[in-house]
Amino acid sequence: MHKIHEMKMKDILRNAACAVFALAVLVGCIPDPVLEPDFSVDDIYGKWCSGTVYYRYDYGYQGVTWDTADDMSEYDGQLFTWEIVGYDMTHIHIMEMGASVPKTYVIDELTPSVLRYHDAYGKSYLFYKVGY
Amino acid sequence: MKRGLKIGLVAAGSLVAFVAVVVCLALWLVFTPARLTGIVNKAADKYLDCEMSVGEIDLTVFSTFPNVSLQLSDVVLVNPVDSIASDTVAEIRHCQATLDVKALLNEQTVMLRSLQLNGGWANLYTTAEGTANYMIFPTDTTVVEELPDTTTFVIPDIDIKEIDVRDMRVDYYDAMAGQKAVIEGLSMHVNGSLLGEQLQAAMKASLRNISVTLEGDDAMSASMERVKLDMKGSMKNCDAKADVNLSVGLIDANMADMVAHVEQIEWTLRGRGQDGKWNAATELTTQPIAASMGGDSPMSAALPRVQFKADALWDGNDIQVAPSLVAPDLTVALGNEQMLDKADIQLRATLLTDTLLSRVELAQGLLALNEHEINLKGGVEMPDTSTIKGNVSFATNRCDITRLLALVPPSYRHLLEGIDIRGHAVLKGTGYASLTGDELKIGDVDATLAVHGIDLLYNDSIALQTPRTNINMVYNGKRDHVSGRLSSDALHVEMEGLADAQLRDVEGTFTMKQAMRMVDGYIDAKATLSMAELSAAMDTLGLYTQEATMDITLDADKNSQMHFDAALRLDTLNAAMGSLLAASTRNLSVEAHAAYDETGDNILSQWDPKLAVDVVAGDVASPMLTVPVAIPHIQFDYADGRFTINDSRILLGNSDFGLRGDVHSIDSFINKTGLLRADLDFWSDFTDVTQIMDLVSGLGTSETPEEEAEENTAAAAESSATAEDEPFMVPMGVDVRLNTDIRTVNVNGFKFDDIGGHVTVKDGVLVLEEMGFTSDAARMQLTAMYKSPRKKHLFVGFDFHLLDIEIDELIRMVPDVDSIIPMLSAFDGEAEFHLAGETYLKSNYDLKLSTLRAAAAIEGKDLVVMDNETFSQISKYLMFEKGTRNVVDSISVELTVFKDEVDLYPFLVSMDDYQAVIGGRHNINENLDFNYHISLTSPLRLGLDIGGTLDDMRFKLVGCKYAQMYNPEKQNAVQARTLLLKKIISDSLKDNVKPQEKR
Repeated sequence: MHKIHEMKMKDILRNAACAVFALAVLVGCIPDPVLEPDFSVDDIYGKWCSGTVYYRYDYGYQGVTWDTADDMSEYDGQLFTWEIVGYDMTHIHIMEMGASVPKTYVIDELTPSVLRYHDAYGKSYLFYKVGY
Repeated sequence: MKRGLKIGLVAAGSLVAFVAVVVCLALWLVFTPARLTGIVNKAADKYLDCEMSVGEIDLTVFSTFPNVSLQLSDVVLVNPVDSIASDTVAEIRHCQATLDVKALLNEQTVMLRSLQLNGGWANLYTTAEGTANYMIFPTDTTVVEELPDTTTFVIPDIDIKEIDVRDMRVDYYDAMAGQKAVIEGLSMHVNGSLLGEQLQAAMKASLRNISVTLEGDDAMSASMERVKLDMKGSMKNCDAKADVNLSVGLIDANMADMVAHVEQIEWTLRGRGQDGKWNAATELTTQPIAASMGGDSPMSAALPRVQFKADALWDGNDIQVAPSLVAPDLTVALGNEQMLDKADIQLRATLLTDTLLSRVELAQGLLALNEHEINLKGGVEMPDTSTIKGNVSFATNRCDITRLLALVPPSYRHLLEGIDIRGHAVLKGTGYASLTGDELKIGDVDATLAVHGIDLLYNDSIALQTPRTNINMVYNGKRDHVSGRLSSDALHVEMEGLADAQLRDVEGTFTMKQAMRMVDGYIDAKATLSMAELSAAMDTLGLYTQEATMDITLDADKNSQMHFDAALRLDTLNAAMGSLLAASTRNLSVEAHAAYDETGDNILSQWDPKLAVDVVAGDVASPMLTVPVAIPHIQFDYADGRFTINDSRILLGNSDFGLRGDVHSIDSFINKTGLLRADLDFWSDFTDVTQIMDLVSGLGTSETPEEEAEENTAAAAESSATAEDEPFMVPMGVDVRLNTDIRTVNVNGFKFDDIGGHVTVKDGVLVLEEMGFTSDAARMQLTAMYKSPRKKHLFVGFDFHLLDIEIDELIRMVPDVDSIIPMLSAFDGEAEFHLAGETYLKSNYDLKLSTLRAAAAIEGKDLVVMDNETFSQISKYLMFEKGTRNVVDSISVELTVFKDEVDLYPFLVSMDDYQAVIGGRHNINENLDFNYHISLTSPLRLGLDIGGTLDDMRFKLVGCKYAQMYNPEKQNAVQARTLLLKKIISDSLKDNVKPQEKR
């Protein structure tokens, strides 16, 4: 009885898997569209602040970030490169030793004064522009 | 009596009486005073060129028989001269001349037997034009043709029975020379005779007072009272003797601002000559003498008595003179300063010379001041008229230095201020010099100072003691060479509260070539110093050494550039810093060279030093060092701004290592124009890092009370509630590169082999560069960086690679990996691990979390998944079949750390028939909460979320989140980008891996 139940369960799962697989194949065959953002990327340039955390986006896709709570200043800021494709924003933090730490976000709002985005784990960020 | 005889005698008597009566009558009738006056006046007219008047003239026969005596009274000589007030030259109250009648009658010669002058005076005057009133004898103006004197000179016999002068006064004034003299109470008694070769003479003279005055620029005046002179002498053939006694009752002299006063002088001279040898003895004794001199430096001297004696001997060729002087209780004052206070002066000498005085030899001499004596020997000779050569040797007696220095005048006492010295000293030496024309040549000079029992205290702070020390200096004039020698049984030097040094058997030498050329800037000098033992302490520092030798050479060339060489060698050296540190070496050698160039910018370029140091068998011990430290050998040198360690070997506990290489650009570093650069090789057979870390842990964090107070004040000012430590600050201005070559390193029980790489410190940045090594578990590479721009702002970054590592060894070596990648402990097998990270730190090394960045990549094949509870849970949820072979074919894990977020990028796990993709995040916080997802992609697709904390894990079946992640044809853009990012992470990490020989 138990074995029959086990076999049925396996069949169900196998069938379900086949269905999911077929769906996935279908979905996978459809290329992901790149959505045109409803903001201007040019608004990203400048110095943004969230509490004690600062980001400065420079031309040439360079930038620095610092947190004054840790006795850091703009002069001490750590380098990163940034890229915005559609609503996706990628920061690649460049360590002095050469290795890279990427971080990806989805931009929710970008205006000349507000930058709001979230990451894949649901963590949101809100910045206000404080300078250029 | 026969009658005939009686008659004869009466007749003879009558005849004599008759003759006498006849003679008296004849004299009375013929030589009357009037007639005698005429005779005298005639004689005066003939022999004197002045007027002469005589009061009375009388002739005496009987009282002076058989001689006749002519007595004159009130003899006046008058010689008027213009500008002289008085025309009287002399006046003699009574004058008596006694003539030899027999010579007068038989030989018609006037032989003066005696001459007496009693009472009178003379007034001798020379006008400003040079006319003298005492020039009263006529001048013979007749021209006589001088004919050759062919006659033999025969000294006529002279027999003066008496010349007696009494109570005469003489006034002398020379207006042209400004000289004036007055003699009062002059009495003199002279007798003598020269009869053939026999001479005898005697004179007694006395005067009551004599005064002499000189006018003009060198004005002076002097007077003497109660002068008595007694002389007598005789000579027969070659034998002669003479005695002179002179006494002066009182002498006063004034010259300019000098005044001298002598109460009494007694002088005697005894001379004897016999068989061609002559000797003489003289003695001068004075009673109290006082002298003073005014002017800018007034001086006065007084002594109660002076005794001078001299013996002289002449043998016809050589003359020997032995003078001696004794002057006790001499007091000399200069201004208000007493230079000598009742000092006893003694001089003794024995001089030898010849008749021509072509040489003078001091056979023995003594100069004494109180109990301090100098014995002298020497001589002066004149080999020709233009050359004088002299030599001298001297030796003092054993002088009490304290009493000797007490003689230093008060005005010079400041030179001895603060000096308190006890002990004795002996100074002796020799010297030679010659003077040819104006050229002085100093020959050999040799001087030795021997001090005994010296106890010196300077300024109550520096003390020096030595039982016996000799200092010898020699100058070789021919070679112009100075040499010296110092030897001491022991020296003890103490600087109160600062340093204390004891030296035993000290020997030193010093030589200087061409010493006289020093004035031209030429120096060629060498010195050596050696000692059997040296024990020194300074504050808490202690030093002990044996058989120390130091050689020093100093020379300057034509351009006056000074070169300095020094070499130091020690057989044994023990040094200690209180109880904190002790160091010793069996052998130490230091050689130094320097050339001085004043145009240099700094002390190094000015001296251009060169240094070579060699240490053998050194040991270091300290309570802070829980392990012994030994330095079997270290040899380094410095030259041309480059410091080079040629060889070294150091044993530190279990570790041994060596250092070799260069430190250069020191000039630039000092001038602040560049970095101090170093390129050093560090090699070791075995380095116990764990032990060394334990050893140095906490070093440098101790503070003095002052520093602690200052820190507290600063902390209060900052109102900082956080107490922070003193972090390690990387030196600025240096560029040091350390090339490591370590055979085996022990870190927490792990052995790493063949460690090679570089450590650099560059201008505030410390970098461990490409440190490669191997262990039983892995091959490894490490690059790390530490910067300290500010005390509260430190940076650390690292790039770490473990190749072919056993995962369990990896977790053991880097336990933090387990908390960053918790599932890693579920695997067993060999993997590669790449980790890079950076963060800023606080001064206590706490992380500044906002700056934390890290990336890691782990790749493994054929890993065994450990059969534990978590795996069972996952197997259960993902419905793994029992008996599933839990071997993972391969994994490639990439993860990043950004601030407090640890992102595990989805990675594929293939195990038996199963494939799964795992990804997620966990946070570095108190709970270490996480959110992971496992997508089972084969044989079926199923998703499982694992969330919560390690203590409270929650499992939830969900949709398959990463189903197409590793299917390039079906993956979406996000997944494709995720894989791209994984590649970026992996490549950026692997790019730093340097080729390394696989073990």
